[in-house]
Amino acid sequence: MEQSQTSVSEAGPDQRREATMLWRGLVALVLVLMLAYARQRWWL
Amino acid sequence: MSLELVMAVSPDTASAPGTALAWMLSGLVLLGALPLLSSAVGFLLVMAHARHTHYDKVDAANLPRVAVLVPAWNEAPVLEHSVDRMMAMDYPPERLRLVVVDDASTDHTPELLHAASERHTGRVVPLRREQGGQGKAHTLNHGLEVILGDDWAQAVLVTDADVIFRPDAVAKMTRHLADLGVGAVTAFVREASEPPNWMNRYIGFEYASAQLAARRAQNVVGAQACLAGGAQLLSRENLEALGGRIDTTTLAEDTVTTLLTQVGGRAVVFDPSAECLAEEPNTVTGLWKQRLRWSRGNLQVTRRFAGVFFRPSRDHHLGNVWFGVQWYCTLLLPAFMVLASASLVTLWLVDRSTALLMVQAYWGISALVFLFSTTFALLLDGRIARRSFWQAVTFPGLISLSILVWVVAPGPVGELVGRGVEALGGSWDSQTRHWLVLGVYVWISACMVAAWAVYRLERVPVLRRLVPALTVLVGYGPLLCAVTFAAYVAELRGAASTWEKTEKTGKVGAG
Repeated sequence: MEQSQTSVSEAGPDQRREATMLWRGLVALVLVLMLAYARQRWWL
Repeated sequence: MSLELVMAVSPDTASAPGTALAWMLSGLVLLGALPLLSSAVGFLLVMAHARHTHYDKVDAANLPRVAVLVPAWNEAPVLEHSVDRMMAMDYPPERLRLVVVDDASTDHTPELLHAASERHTGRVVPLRREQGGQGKAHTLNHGLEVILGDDWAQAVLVTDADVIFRPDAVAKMTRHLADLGVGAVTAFVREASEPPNWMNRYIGFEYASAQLAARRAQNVVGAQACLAGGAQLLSRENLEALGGRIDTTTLAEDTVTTLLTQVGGRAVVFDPSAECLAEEPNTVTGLWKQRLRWSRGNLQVTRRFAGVFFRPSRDHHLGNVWFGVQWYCTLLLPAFMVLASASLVTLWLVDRSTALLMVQAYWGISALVFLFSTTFALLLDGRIARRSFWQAVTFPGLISLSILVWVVAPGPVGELVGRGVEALGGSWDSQTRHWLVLGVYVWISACMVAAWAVYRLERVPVLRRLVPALTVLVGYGPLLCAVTFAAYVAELRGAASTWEKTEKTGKVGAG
């Protein structure tokens, strides 16, 4: 296969996008925790 | 759960809670919730994709000679556009070749293919099978024989005639092959029908969960369940190790390729940024046909590869515990739902207060997992979030959603329902509440029967118009479970494994 001489990766933008997976998941988790808290606090 | 509610719905609880039978049945209900918990673990793994990606091993300058292999049976409405788009790909032209295998088409496919080969001389290779209709794998093998017959191709991209790759998609996929440990790469297939109808939007959202989330999670554990059928980049080394041909013994040839690649010690990678657009079914009947094929294929594949799950191996990660649990949960989802439902109804007969606790636990887990996975999936892709927001919200169906809301706020919802029943002239007594709660237990599995009824209803011309509204009521999720159940039945009956192609009309937009 045709290979570049240096292992230059242009995956930077894609890699940076993947780095946001953590906070995206955390946002969803916070919502879940808020729902669980509301359930316990007000409707138990 | 409110104590008042327990007392209200179970004043005549006879047996003492905590009996051995009640404990056992409660355990079975929780076992029925395993697919929900496994799915939640999958979404947690997506968060780890922030660090565990394959991007640190790619080389953007890795541009092997790629033969794009397209099986084509009566693809006249889509062929011309997809060929021209592929030829305009942002990839060195001398390193990209299109091999289209006409599977004895009876429409204008041969003429269009001939014209395309003249427009793109030397870059579009038309092949024809005179006797077709055996299925995609046979058609692919006809092309592979020619492609592997000389040493030009260094990689083969298996796709479908209607699939449109974004200009950078092929290069984004080939860069992973710079890692010689990688045997196959797959891309994100976006549902891109224009204009999208309600079914297209449901499928679009489903793909956010089933591809953007699930395949990222599988990247993290190092085991992929399936290369997208329309986007399978295979290295030549891998293809030759697979015997130079695609397996023809199941209805899920892409899954077999995926698993065989990994069993052979070569990694399979999903690149969420490599994207292609496809037209998916726009009716319940179309979806049913497509998914029945997929589900039956998965059952056939599971029989063949049962030995690789839950068994550690030096060659691959298919033995990963979560991967195995998720595989079987997907396959056995209808059975889990029936188990949960049957256990709850039995528990209701034995010990009503424990039954109510368990139904709240089951639907409570559902509510939390639904909120987590739906929010996360919508956050994964803004375009899908805009296009399919209401389909994401109504994915479980309005009936299940009402139950979820009841579980979250039993007091207010109970009061509201009570007022509603009384306003309609009914009596909100303990008997009515018993029946309603029993309905909640049964719905866990009855939703599949309701979904099947919606599918059958689509065949009745005068009632067909009700199908979109009824799907929203019953749920798209239950529809998928019902298809899986139908696949069990088809496999048990030994129904013929005929390949029924999904109809394409060429309405893929720019996405």
